[in-house]
Formats: sequence, structure tokens, C-alpha cells
Amino acid sequence: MECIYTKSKALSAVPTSFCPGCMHGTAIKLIAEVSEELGIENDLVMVAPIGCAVFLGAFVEFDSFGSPHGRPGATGTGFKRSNPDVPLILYQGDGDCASIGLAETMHAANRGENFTVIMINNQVYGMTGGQAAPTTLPGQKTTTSPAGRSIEGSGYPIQLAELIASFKAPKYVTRQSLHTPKNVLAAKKAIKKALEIQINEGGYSYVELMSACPTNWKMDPKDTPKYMEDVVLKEFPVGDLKG
Amino acid sequence: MSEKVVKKGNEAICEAAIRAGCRFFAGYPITPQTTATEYLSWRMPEAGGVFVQAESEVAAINMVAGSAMAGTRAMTATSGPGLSLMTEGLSVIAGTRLPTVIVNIQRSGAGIGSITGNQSDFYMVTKTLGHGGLTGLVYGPESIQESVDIMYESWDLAEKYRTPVIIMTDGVMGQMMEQVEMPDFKEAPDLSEQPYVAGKRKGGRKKHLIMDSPYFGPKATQADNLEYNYAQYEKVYESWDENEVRYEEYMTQDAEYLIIAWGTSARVAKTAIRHLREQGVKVGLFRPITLVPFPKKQLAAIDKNKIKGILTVEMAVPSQFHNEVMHYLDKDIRVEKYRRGGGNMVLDEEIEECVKKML
Amino acid sequence: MARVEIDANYCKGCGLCFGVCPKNLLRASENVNAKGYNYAEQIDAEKCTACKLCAIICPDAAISVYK
Ligand SMILES: Cc1ncc(C[n+]2csc(CCOP(=O)(O)OP(=O)(O)O)c2C)c(N)n1
Repeated sequence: MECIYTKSKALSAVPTSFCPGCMHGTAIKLIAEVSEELGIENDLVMVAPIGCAVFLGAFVEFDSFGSPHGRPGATGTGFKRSNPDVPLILYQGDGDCASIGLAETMHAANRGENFTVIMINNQVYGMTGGQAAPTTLPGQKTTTSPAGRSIEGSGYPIQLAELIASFKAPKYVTRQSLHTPKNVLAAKKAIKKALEIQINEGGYSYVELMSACPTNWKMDPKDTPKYMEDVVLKEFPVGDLKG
Repeated sequence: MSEKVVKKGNEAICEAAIRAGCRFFAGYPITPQTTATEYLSWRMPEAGGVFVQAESEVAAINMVAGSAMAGTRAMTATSGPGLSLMTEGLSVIAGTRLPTVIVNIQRSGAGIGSITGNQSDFYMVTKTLGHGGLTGLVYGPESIQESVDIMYESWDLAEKYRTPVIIMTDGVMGQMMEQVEMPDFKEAPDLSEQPYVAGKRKGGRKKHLIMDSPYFGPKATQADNLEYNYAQYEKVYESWDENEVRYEEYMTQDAEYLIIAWGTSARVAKTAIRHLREQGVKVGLFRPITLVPFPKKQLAAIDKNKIKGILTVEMAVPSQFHNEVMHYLDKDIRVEKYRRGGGNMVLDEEIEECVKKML
Repeated sequence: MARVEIDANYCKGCGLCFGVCPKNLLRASENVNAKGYNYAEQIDAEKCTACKLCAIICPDAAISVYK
């Protein structure tokens, strides 16, 4: 028998430290696979900011560097401007990218920095134990919105992909999801397209990936795909927004 | 070739950076730093480097970190409120031990304060860089020439010790014009193999996993590794006390009275000393050039049998430098202080008066 | 002829693969791995079509597919 699918060589020989059913793992797996397909596994550099992404560098064979919470847009700008030939992914959580780092995210997008942002939208602050994020759904219970997110107090979820797509500079803006095999394959295609744009023509790309955080959603991982399909994707529809 | 030019302080120090091999600048305009950002907006690209007007000082300092991790000699410049915003990034840069240069062109006061020159960031920069208690080399030049000379060396030192270097000038020095000797252009070294540099992997080099907290090391747990690695950082800082302390003694040979001051205050003190000498007063100056490492031993060695009185001079109210100096001086020496705050300059005639009161 | 191989050291027993197998060939093992997870196992391997859906959904890259 022939092996037709196995772990990417761009993944390290250690299991990730993510919780069972956490789709950070799926996203990192896809990045690894795409890097192999594009032959950039030795060149790609990843920014691993604070959040569950912080130990990312241990799970991949790429070079990686850290960034303070929310600052990848700035750290990445400094790096890429000085190293324009090195493909770069900013791997960010939704809190990182859309709350504390909103200014850095927006300005990097508006400048059209030549890198790819991969944003993991799990609607909570995963690493700190499930507090409300700017992406938390209306009525969603978190440890800091025990009665459910109130629109009066906290506003509506920030739809970052839509915001970024409103800028002129970005070349490719998309929202995908990781909850079904079909969506995972579409997400992979999107990551590949984003990196191809970065490498071949240059320009900013943003790939938002709808993900589950079963631990902080307090949900059996097996139940997360249906919840995402029925509830989450209603607020955050998947599809290309630009490019 | 080195050349003599007449330049504004801010422009001179930026030109020295370019000549030292700096090829990345990110900054956000703030008086009295603005002319530095303006100068580099055209000069940096002309020299083949990258200039970015950042969206904030928070972004600027992190851009500098990113560029340093690409193996580039990178810098930023700011003033008070901007420095406050940079503390997060400074902490990260000190934690990652990234060779970078930060120029703080001091203005006065807390909050928005005032835009005139001052020395009131002394504590903020010398005690710790942001949270966590780490530090870097800190210089307090007294003239444009000295700023230029320190800037020209700063990445060599930053790379030697893997540390940020902070140069503390002020609004006075930044705006004034002086003739300076500009050093020759030098080439930055190839840093691509350094463990804090990502990308441009050659051959089969192992991946670089660069983190601002040194979690990895010879110990079993994260906490033990952090403790162990920070202790190694501390050894580097302690080596500075031996090898990197710089200070100037001015007319101290026969001095019976001493002024202790740094930066612009020291420069004004020199004028006062010349006047006092004309009047027969045996007074000299002790001037720390490095604020980290601070010349502790040298201050402690000031002889109470020789020195009848000391005057500290600084542009900061409440006092900062004065308090620091007091830690190290012999307790039997009489010490007075003269300081001006709120952006007021220290004046040579007031310094003279203060010294005369001690006679 | 096809089969999947599940790396018990990587599998965290999340069960996302159970629901995507068109033939319902995946389930939680009674055994636990070093981390204490009941890792996934394949039953009736002869019915496997090597569709790869389980490997694609797996967040932990624990599944290899053979054909
Ligand atoms: C300046 C700062 N504020 C707060 C924190 C605490 N903190 C660490 S991770 C995190 C939230 C991360 O959430 P997100 O970016 O959505 O990523 P996730 O962990 O969900 O993947 C917070 C608030 C921090 N490390 N630094």
C-alpha cells in the first residue's frame, strides 16, 4: 500500500500543545502543507504573537519570532521591509488582531505590507481562559460576559475581514472555516493563494479562519462543527471579500 | 572620509546613525524629536535604507524589533510621551536581547508636559526598560559631537552585548546647531546567522525560534530556565560595570569643590566652572557619560579629605539624578542640589551662586 | 484496499474524525496514550476507501492514509 496522506515534514516531531479539537492545529497543519507544496518550507518565517500561538515555533520547522500581544502588524512590517524576499506569515488570534492590535493590523493592511495575515477567529481569548473577544457572538457566554455578550455594553462582533476589505491596498481578503473537510480544503486553497500573491506579485493578504475552542466554549469537540455551521457562520459568513 | 559640517543636533545624530550602518528607522512625530523623523524620511531612503512613519510609538518600537530580527541595524527616536508608549516594546527588546538603538530626545514633565528640553526621563530609562527589570546601555552625551560619536559606536556595542542602546539627548541639544566632525561611512556586519535573526536560512541550518522570554535552556522547567537565563543577562550587565563605564573629569585635579551633572546640565556647568575659576574658586566637574552602567565606584571614590562640597545640577523637578548620585557618595561630604524643572534651562550664573554659597 | 494509521502519540481523542468518516469506521479506543487521551482507532479497515476526510479534519496531523 502506498501512503497518500501523512504529516507534513514542515511540522516538528512533537505534538502541539493545543487542547483536543482546537483548530489552531488544523491551521498550522495547512500552513505546513502549503509551504511544502510551494517549496518554501526553508524560507517561510512566522510571527508567533502572544495568545495560544505563542509556542507555535516549537511545532513547525520554520524560523519564527515572537511579538508582543497585538503587535505583529508592526513587528512584521519591520521584518519584511528589511527582508523583502523572505515569505512571512503573521499568525494571530482574533483578540490579538482585532482588539489590542487593531491599530497595527489596520495600518499594516492599509499600507499594503507584503505579508500574509492568518487570523484564527475562535470568538474568545483562548490562552487566558475564555474571556470575551471582539468577535464574541451576541449573547455568547464567556468568563467576562457571564450573562452573554450584550450589544449595549460591548457592541457587535467586529468583522475584521470586512473592515480590511474596505481598504484599497489589500490584494486578497477572505474568510474561511475549519469545521468540515470541505471547508478545510477551501481554507488550504486560500492560504496557498495568499502566499502565492505575496511571493509572486507582492501585496497584503488576509485569511481569517473560523475555528473552534472547545475548551473555552465548554463544548465537546465533536459538537463544534454543527454549532459553527448553525450559529457562528451566520455571523461570520465564509467567502472571498476581495481578490 | 570624515568631514566637518554644521548641523542641528537631531540631524547630526541621525546622520551618524546612517554612517554607522543603520538601515531602518521607524518613528512617530513628537516635539522635540520631529526634525529627526523628518531628516530620516529622505536621508534613509537615499542611503538605501527603510524609513517608516509608524502609526504610533507602540508600532514604531515593534517595527524596530522586527527589523533587528531581520539582521538590520535599526533605530527609533522619540520623546517623553512616546517613550512611555514604547516601554512594552523596550521590555520585549531587552528580553529578546535585540541589538537596537533608541534615541530619547527628552522633553519635560509628566503626561503631555511641555515640549522644552529636560532631563526628567532619567529614572524611567535607567531603572528598567519597561516591565521585568531588564536593562540596556544608556548614554547621556553633553554635546552634538559626543552624541554623534556615541551613535557611531552604538550598534557595535549593541551587537557585542546583544542589548538595546539608549541615547538620552534633550530638546536643547536636539534643536541647537553646532559644528561637528562626521565620521566615515561604515558597513554593518552580516548578522544573518545570529540566533536572534530569522529568515535567509542557509544550507541545513536549524530553525531559529526567537522568543522574548528565554524559556529554553539547560533547566527542566520554564520558570527555572527563565531564572537561569535572566541570571546570565545579569552577568552581562555586571560586566558593564567593569568595562563600559564612561565619565569625564573636568578641572578636577586641584578641585576643592565639585559639580556632578550629566548631559546639557553638565555642559552649562562647565561655563560656570570657567567663570568660577577666573574668580579663584577651585571647582571641577564630574560628568557621567554612561547612565547605565552608572559610575558608582568613581563616585564612591570621591575623597572627603579633598572635596569640601558637591553641587549636583540637573533639569528635573522632582530630583532624580541627584538622588541616584547620593547613593554612592561618601556620606560625610556636604552635597547641595541645584535643579530647574518644567522645561526651564539650568543657568550658569545660578550654578555659580550655588557654588559660592558653599564656600 | 485502504487503511488509515493513527499516530497515538499525536491523537488527542477529540473525535472530529468520527463524524466525517462516510463509513463510520472511526471510534475512540479503549486504550489511552501517554497524555491520557483515548485516541482514535479504525475498525473494519477493509471498508476504508482512503477518502482522506478524517486526515483532513484532524487538527493534530495524527492520521496517515494508505491505499
Ligand atoms: C499587553 C497584554 N495584555 C494582555 C495579555 C494577556 N493575554 C495573553 S493571550 C490573550 C488573549 C489571546 O486571545 P487571542 O488573541 O484571541 O488568541 P487565542 O489565545 O484565542 O488563540 C491575552 C488577553 C498579554 N499577554 N499582554
